Amino acid sequence: MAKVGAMDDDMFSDLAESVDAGDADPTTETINNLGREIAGGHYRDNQKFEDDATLAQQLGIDESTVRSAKGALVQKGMLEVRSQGDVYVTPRAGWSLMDDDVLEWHLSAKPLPDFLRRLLELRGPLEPSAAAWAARDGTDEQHQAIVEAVERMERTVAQVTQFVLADAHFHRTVMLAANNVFLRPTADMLFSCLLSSIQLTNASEKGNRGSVPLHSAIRDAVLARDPAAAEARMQDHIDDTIRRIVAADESGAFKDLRATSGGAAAAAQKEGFLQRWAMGLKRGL
Amino acid sequence: MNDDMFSDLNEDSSLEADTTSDVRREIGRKIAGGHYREREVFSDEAGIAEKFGVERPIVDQAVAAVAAKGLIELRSNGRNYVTRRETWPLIDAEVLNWHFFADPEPTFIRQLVEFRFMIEPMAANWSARYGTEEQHEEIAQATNRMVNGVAEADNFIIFDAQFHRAVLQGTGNDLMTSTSNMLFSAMISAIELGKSDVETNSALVPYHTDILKFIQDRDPEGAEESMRVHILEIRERILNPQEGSAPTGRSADPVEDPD
Repeated sequence: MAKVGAMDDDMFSDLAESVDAGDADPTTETINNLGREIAGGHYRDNQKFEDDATLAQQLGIDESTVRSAKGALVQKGMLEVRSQGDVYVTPRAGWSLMDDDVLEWHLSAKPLPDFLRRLLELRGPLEPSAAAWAARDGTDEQHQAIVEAVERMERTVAQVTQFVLADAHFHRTVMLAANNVFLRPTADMLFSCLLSSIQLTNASEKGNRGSVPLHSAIRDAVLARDPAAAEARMQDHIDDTIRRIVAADESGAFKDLRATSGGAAAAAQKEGFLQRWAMGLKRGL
Repeated sequence: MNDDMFSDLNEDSSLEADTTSDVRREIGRKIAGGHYREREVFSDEAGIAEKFGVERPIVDQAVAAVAAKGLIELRSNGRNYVTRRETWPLIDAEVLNWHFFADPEPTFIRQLVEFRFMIEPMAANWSARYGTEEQHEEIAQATNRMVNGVAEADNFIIFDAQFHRAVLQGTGNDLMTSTSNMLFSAMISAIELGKSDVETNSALVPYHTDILKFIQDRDPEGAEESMRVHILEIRERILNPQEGSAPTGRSADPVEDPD
């Protein structure tokens, strides 16, 4: 399987705008829908996937279509067959974002509110520290990569999809500049998660323009080799992300989600779920 | 402390003494000790052949044996990769043995404690907040094993690592627990076996009983703070070592940065 770690900017430049699922056949449509749900965190890493009969009933399609779709997702590396033919969700760090379909599913996913909570709970401790370490331990080359990542964001501010990639790329660049071997696999996983999160928080040019200064502030603190400032600016950015996600929640972004086995409980409590969670954080948002 | 003692303890018959197994053990320990990065190309065959005074096929055979254990991924183009730590089979006695005698790289130990300091206090918080009764019971059992196992040098290290893995899993957050196997493996490699004596181990126990109490009381802030105190103490010891307690690993091979 292609490795995410070898990823660079160029591979995304040829990315087709979007897979048009409008007049797709039922199998393709099912593949795309399930791919988006998996990318959007409706299932957890290593979770057992629904069996063919259950899924066929839920989706109102026949079992052979479900089987083909699951087979295709196994081929794509998002699902894997384990003992007794049971199908499980492959851990996110093993997904290939070099695959155009897998990437497109990330960029068109409807993320589950509970997935966004889990992501923010990881980003909360992780990213501010990573920014501090990037300021302290990053090489000049790594700092230059952060400078270029911000330039790319500025350049793509009017292109919604390209901006999402540029933004996620920025965060991965900071994580790698932290020069901690334990952050490397986490950086790949985070990149995958961020694509689905950012396409929700940054769905317009206006939103993007508001985002860029938060990233430039992180860049400036890192370049100044000021760990405390880098940590604080990253925290500012994450706080802003939480506000954006809560706002998306209020404007109905999470309506009409299918209750999957992975997200059934969270989907049931989706109304106001993230607002309540954010209140509980006591971050003074 | 030497290998034989450990192999006697574990009655591990796979540790037969011939050149091939020496080479295999060297490679396994280096990888477990963080001398190679995850997904880095393993390209040390020539150096190892020279060090052991053996022909290249012997080394290739050893690499294949380590690959069979899952620490290296063989590619047909000859570029073999070190696999992700989170996928290593720690239930395998030989793989576990490589961890115990891993000769950890100093940078690896430092980065590990910084990573732990970053993630574990918050993990204790979420674990107190969200952990199920079963997950809390898992943490309690790991604590009990530590309390009763202070005199069991090698086992105590595993009990300690199991405690921390149970706390991470108690978060119920798949994105957080995806790091738990990696941390478990790294913790075992980073602890110096010679330092796991009754006195040291007994001093470690109260930190863990404290953390457990806050988690069971579902006091997130208390759990976070007690974990912070625990890791901070380890961090201070590693980053500002006192005379004679420097975490230099078990030998002093020079380590070159692969980047």
